[in-house]
Amino acid sequence: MDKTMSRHHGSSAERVLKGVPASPGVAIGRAFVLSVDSPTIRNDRLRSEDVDAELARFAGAVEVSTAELHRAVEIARTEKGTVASIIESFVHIVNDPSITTAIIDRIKHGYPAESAVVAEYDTHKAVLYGARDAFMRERAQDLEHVKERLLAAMRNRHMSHAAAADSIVVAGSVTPQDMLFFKQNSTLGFITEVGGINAHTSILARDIGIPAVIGVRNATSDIPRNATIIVDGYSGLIIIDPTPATITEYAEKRLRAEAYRQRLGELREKDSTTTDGVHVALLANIDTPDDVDVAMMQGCEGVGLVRTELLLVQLGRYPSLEEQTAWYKDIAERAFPLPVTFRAFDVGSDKFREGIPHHEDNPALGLRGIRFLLYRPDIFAQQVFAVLRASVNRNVRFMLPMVSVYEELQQAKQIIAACRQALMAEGVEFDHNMPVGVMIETPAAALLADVFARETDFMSIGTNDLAQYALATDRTNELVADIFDACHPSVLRMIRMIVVAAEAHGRSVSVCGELAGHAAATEMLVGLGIRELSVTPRLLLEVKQRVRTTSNAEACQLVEQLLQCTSTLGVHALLTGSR
Amino acid sequence: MIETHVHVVNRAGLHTRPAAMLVKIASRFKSEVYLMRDGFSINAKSIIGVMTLAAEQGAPLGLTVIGEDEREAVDAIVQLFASGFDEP
Repeated sequence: MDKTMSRHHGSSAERVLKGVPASPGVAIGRAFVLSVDSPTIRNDRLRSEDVDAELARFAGAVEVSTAELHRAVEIARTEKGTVASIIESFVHIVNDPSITTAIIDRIKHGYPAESAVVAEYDTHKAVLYGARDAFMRERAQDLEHVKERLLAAMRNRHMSHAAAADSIVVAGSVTPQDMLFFKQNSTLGFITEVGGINAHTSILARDIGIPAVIGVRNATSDIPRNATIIVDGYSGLIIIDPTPATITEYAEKRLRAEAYRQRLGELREKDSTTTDGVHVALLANIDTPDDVDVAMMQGCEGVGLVRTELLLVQLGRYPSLEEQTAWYKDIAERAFPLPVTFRAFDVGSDKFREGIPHHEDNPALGLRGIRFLLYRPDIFAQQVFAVLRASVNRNVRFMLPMVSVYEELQQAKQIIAACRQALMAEGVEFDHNMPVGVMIETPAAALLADVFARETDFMSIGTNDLAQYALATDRTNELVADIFDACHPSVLRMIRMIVVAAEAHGRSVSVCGELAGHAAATEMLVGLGIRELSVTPRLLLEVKQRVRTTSNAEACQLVEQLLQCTSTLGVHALLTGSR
Repeated sequence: MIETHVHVVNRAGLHTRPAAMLVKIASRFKSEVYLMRDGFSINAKSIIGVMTLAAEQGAPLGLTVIGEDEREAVDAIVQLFASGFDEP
């Protein structure tokens, strides 16, 4: 994902902040900034004559909060989705008998009401933060919201929802009920400093269709009151004081986005199945932990490719074992229970060349992918350790890039086996059956696909490199770029060979190259027997749309013809003809 | 007393909303209702208790119901888990 902070508008004075996109859409409006309220909590002991007053203050706060939530439930009933039931569950939390009893108990033992509430809620929050499942951990936010409302009610503070009609709310955090009250006042968007993509506030924003960006550090201090701002709920960008040109650009984007949303929105929950009932799994290619959330919002069935070398590009060096483990764990936990495939560092490509011993005249044919990793087994082993440690929830797969000869797979497997042994000796918990697969991106590997199918757990086809090596063409060289085409009959025949070999050995095979995200190629890939496509998250729904209008029987007939083509032109003529 | 097992079948697990549904159903009965996980037992009429089980999809839970309407309570709760709390 592009993380640049500058926009190229020459003399403009506009500023850009970056957060996590939590609810899609574009809003242009005025900032309604709510200052962050962080009261000091008394921790001194109560005098015995004050206990009754504190008990009454707590009971009053429960009553006020319950009434407020009931009011929100009434508003929520007019919204579709799960909004009303989410807020109803908050009523249950506020009135939960066990926590209420525990808080009353604490007050009777001399705790001021506020610190009793904080202590009890924080204890339960800590339990949820310890949950294995990332979605479950975000439920801790629900307890935090209820706690905040109780504290506000005890101090007699009420959030003002009197924002102007064209406003965008900027706050530390927003509770689901506040969000509904703001929506009644026609608020256009939300920006918060904290929150997770699956926190109820984010889910609610998506349900009620209001753009939201979360995790914008210092938003309440960096965004001036009443400033004109743009919220881009697709990219997570916030533009402060946009130029007229930017406003026009985003107004157009908003129109396009609304049309697109209507067309594809309902697709999210639907199955990715052809008209004749063949399921084609749609996975996401990602580069960072935040991408997982974006992909899951688009309804992906797993992560088909994590390009781990992006971590190297970001850091500009090789990460430590701890850094890698934390990064992989974060991704695997966010995706849990969906599967995640980590691809080992594909070093030596154009992006990162650190560690390559000397200049290569022909890097594409040089020390890259698995070749480099076997040249530097220290770097490779450290990555294997980190990935194994992240596999503890059994949703992790590991994939070797740029394999061309069988010996490379053998040597890599030996190193992986040695790493497993070492972790077992240390008593570290990990998935002893973590699947290991290979990328098929050289003609040599494609022609030996039966060997690789037998010796690995899965295969994935990188169509760009496969076409580049098959056609001996550098597609960035304009003198020969016209020869390059991932749909060339030679490439299609190799994909077919790989699928046949995989089927014979009962292995799964996916396509994770650019071709997978090419909507025009979906029918062809289905016809070739591909049952897993891994694409960039923003293309997931478009590809799903294509799968749902494809007939597998017709696709197979089309492929019979395609495989007989003599040239790329012939392939494209058939592909356009079939639509 | 009736002791049995239930499984979480919905994808998102026993999070806030399903927890509230469970508490609502359990509270309709006079019987005491307990859920157990990893030797840890909670009162199923407390939403915070249910939430802090942090039961994800596939999690096996023990269900213990004690009281005059225990048969009806077990049936209703088993049915609720099997329905996936109206979630996918």
